[in-house]
Amino acid sequence: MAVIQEYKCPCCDGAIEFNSELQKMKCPYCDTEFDVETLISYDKELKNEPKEKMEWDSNVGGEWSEGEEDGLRVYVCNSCGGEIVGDETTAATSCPFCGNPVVMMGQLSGSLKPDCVIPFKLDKKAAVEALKKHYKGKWLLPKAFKDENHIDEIKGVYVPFWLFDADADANIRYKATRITMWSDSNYRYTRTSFYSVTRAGEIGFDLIPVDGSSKIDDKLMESIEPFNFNEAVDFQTAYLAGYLADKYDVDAEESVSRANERIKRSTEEAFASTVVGYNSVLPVSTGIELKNGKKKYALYPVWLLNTSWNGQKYMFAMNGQTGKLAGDLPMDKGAFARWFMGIATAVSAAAFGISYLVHIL
Amino acid sequence: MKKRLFIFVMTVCLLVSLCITSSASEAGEKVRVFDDADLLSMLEKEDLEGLLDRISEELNVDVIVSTVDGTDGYGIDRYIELFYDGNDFGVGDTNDGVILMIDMEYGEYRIMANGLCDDAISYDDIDSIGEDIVSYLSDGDYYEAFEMFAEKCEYLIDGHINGFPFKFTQNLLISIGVGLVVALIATLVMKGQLKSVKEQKTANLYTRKGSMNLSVRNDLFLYSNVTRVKIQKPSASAGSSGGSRKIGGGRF
Repeated sequence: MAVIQEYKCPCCDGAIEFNSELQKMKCPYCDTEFDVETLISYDKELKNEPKEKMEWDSNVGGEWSEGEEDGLRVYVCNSCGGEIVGDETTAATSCPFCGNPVVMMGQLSGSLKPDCVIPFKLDKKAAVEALKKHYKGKWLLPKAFKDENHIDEIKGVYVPFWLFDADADANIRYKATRITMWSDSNYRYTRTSFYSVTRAGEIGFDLIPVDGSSKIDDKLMESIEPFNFNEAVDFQTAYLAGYLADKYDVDAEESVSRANERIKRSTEEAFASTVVGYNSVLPVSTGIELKNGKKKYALYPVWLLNTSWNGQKYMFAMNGQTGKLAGDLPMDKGAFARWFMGIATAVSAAAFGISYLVHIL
Repeated sequence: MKKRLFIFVMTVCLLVSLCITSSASEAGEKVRVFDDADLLSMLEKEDLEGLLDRISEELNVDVIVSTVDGTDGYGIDRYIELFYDGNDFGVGDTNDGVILMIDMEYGEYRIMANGLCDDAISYDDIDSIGEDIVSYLSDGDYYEAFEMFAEKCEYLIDGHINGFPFKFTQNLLISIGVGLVVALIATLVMKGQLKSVKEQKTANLYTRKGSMNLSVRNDLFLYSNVTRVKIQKPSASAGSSGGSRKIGGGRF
């Protein structure tokens, strides 16, 4: 069985959580607040105390069939002794029996230890409010979807991200044209001048995030960017208490291609913006070389909200730091048709009326 | 010298012949159909004369049709002006009128609008009339071409003087078209509001401030080319005629 970590309140021994509003650990039972560092020191002392050891014969139940347990990890809750089954990427969750938040230490140690974490700044209530706001002003959103507004599941998740730094050396050649026009009494002249334009140099990028979890849609994560890395802190498991967390299952080598795509596009745009004074600019050859590449492993705070409607599931994600929310909404086809016909009728009538007024005036 | 003398003699002959035509008509009604190329039957000519007389009298302008077998070396643009001015066509101080001339020698047609008709008929209108009549001219249906010319001119001049009639069906169809396009754009914008999951194309948010450094900035001129387009200008006034004018046309 893998090792899990719970943080206990020094006052009441209850399971303690990270509070996003206070940016401190707060006991939900006795409301006592602690600094993260204090609690970690206290926890280390506790670990040095002798522990009781009771062994049970667990030779009950059937055997897993071959391959069935692949991808599963089993943990024992330190509070109630309940067995927690997680998948191979689960790094923090809550005990299904006593509800205490637990952190799977094995998923976050050694090479799997994140370099940094951005703690949650916004709570569950803010996520629900953001979703309600997200519904506002959407004329084609089905009324039933909006009115029922039931959220099947809402969870605060520390999503694993790879952060890439790189310097791009670029050498780009463009074909550009400049057009000048003039005329005399008989002719209108157009001179088209062709240029070969070269731009070379370098540009640096820091902390480009790429979602390291295959469970979460990459586009959804990119939709809630940016995160403010200035608020990131060195990784401490205490920040995960009360939230879910995954370890990465898409490694840095796989993720870097996505960062490269974005760097390439940005580099092209940045250098193209220096080619000015032309009527048309077309890149002919582009050479972009990346150097000084560095990577970091970080956990970013995301609220995930799931809802279902008409048999379909909808997932929304809110940046747990900035509150930016994204998630596609369903469309009411009937409303689309009604709006289309209504607008078409109103605009047609107005246009016809104006054309008649213009005629008689 | 001989060439200039020849042109002078030809001009005098033309003007004399035109004046004879004009004075001949003064005795009776004003002639507005000149079928020197003999393209119309007697009946067609009479019908056309009736149509042009009615339009001309109702609108107080001269609507003229002329067919020729050559322009005595003047070119149709100059010839149509000499013909119009020499016959003293047009009504009022600004010689309001419009003329269609067909030159069968080179298969060309010209429309010249003078005075009030110059205001009423634009170059685009001349092009539009030309597009409508050219197929009839090519097929040898000259009467139909002249009739269409006369009716189009009547519509344009009458519209200019009295205001164009309200085109109910056309305006209704255009209004419906505008309504459908606006509705489509508006509903697609509404539909777009439902979608907020988008891939980030760039890493612009993560560009290190002040890190961009251009080491090469080279703009090399390769070559250039010059094209020229002749400016289309209205033909100059023939001098003796009052009012502004425009001439346009083509081949058939």
